[in-house]
Amino acid sequence: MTRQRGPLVGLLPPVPTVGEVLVRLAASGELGEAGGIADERLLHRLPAPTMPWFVRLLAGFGAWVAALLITLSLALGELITTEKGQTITGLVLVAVTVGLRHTAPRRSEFLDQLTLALCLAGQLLAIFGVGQVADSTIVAALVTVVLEALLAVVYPDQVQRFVSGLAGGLALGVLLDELEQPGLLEAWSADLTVLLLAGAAATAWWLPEPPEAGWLGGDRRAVGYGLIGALTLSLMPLLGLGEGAGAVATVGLAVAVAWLGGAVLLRLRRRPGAGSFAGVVMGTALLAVATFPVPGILAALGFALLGFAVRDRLLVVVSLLFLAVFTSWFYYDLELTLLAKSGILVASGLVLLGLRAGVLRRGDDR
Amino acid sequence: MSSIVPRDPRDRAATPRLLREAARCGALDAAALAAALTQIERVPDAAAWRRFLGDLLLLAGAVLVAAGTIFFVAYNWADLHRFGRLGLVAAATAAVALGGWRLGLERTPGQVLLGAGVVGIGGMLAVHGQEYQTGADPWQLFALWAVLAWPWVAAARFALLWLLWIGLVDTTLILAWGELLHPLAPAPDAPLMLLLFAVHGLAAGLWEAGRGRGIGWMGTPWVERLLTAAALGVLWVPALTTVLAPQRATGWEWTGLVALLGAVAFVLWRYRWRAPDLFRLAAAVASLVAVVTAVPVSWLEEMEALGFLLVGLLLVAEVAVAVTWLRRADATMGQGGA
Repeated sequence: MTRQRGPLVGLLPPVPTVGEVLVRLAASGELGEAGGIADERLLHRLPAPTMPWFVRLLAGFGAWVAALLITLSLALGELITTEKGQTITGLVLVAVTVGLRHTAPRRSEFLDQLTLALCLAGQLLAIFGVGQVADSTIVAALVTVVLEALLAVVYPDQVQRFVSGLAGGLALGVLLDELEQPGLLEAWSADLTVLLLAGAAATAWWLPEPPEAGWLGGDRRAVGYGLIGALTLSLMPLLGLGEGAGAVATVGLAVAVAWLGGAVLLRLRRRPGAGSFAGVVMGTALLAVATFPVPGILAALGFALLGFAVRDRLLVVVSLLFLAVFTSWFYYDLELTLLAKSGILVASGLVLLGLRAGVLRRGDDR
Repeated sequence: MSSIVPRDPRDRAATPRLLREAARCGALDAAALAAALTQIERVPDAAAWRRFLGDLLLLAGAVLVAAGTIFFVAYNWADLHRFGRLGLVAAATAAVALGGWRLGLERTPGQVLLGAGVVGIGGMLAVHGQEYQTGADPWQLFALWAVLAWPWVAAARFALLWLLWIGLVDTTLILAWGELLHPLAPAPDAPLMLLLFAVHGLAAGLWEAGRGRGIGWMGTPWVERLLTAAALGVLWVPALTTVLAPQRATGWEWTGLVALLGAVAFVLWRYRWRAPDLFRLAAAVASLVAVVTAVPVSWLEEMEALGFLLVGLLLVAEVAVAVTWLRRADATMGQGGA
């Protein structure tokens, strides 16, 4: 297994190296059964490693600031004098940059940065233009969702795919909020937004990776992280809504976490016992009761479990950070008293510590 | 090795993207690729899950119980007598520090608990100041906190705690500057930025020297990387002020600009040729991009829309050049620095 160092090493899922995977495949005989061939000598043909995260951060930040400056130049200039012109200019920019990324004879950092910056600027222009032309938040939100969904598929860039997940997810929340009908539970749109975003993000990780990269070019997780960003921003306002807010989301997330636990059990053992399933369901139900109607804690733990299951260390870390941020934000929730909030946190914490004791005892019994 | 990503392809993390690339290179045929993708998607084994759940449930449970306790104390705070408040914070601080000592300061959980105790010292000083209205300035509070915390930080030998302690020193200097020296200085911020630059630069140098001498707990290079980035970052203020308005810049601000350019040159030389480190090169390059981009920004007032467009395109070009250079530097640094 890959070496792991540092604190709380159990929290980070073991991520095998290429060499370890090939050794295991050869030792397990899977290559033989599948008729597969692996030639390590050809691994030297692999392209250079991707840029470290801080270099990607530099590139992404530069693109954002450039997009803002280009957008400002179009806004200040007199080339675009109407909202329709703004919308058309934005859509043309998006279309041209998508075309350039797919048809450019030779890739270069300069072209990648330029097209990304112009595409971002085009999106801003188009979305704001549509919003002003239609004078409707619903139309603007709908256009954003559709545009970002399209770009997530057709624009082959991790930064853009992250933006698509984030902007599309936030627009979905706005759309559902605007479509809310009077008479129904006041906060149903916020709960539904949380569930849809959580489901979409989890799907980005849980679906098996196909041999071909597919529409998303293997960047599903970039979209997933964008959706998690939108989920984080959607969970916070949920705390300030009226009675009943968070109830549906808490139940829905509890069901999802229990399902995930069951799916993991099935992958671990061919015939898991009824006791194991019961333990998963009971544990999740207890936690849901303890945290009801605050879905943030379940969301954080659910994504930490998912991150470990699919061996994504970053997802585990992001989930734990979210738990800390949510707990801090929870302090400012005005719908509950500090005493009630204290009770929810202590109760959920004790449930988790009790579950831990159960997990460890079950392990010892085996 | 300078690169943060392994050179040997067999040592790289087996991601789906990399496995597909390996198939494209011919190292894996279709069946092997499918088998490899299935292999990496297998959930970790039962033992790994047990360790994970043990750590996750402990960490999350402890955090939630602690947070809930804090919320409970906050709920009852107004009704507590001053001795009760002081005693509560002091008892919590002592408890976590003692717990850390019992767990052992050579282990991370012990170090984390002692770190919580360091934070608790600040809480005690804040409550004391609130209850007794001593009239002390905020900078004095942070200075005392840094002094009282220093023995615990030194005992813990924990990198993150040292970063926290340097943060206390920074806060002390910033607040002291605002209280004591700001009215006297002609360019209020520039001398402070230069002082912070010196503090961070010295700290980074000492840490690197300690790591070079083989002091185990200083083994992580990330502390000096962050300190180097912070040292460069604080100089952005006087440097960009000078570039944007050179006629109005004071001697201190020009010094800040010169110091930044000198520091960038030093970092690029040392961490490209002597002690290869891509993160510090990226920090230096980012500083250079900021300064170069600021030059035409000062002309924006006259050029308006066209100016924004040109600056935007310039920024794209700069970042592209910077990223390309960093990639090439990373590739060659791993081959012996040639």
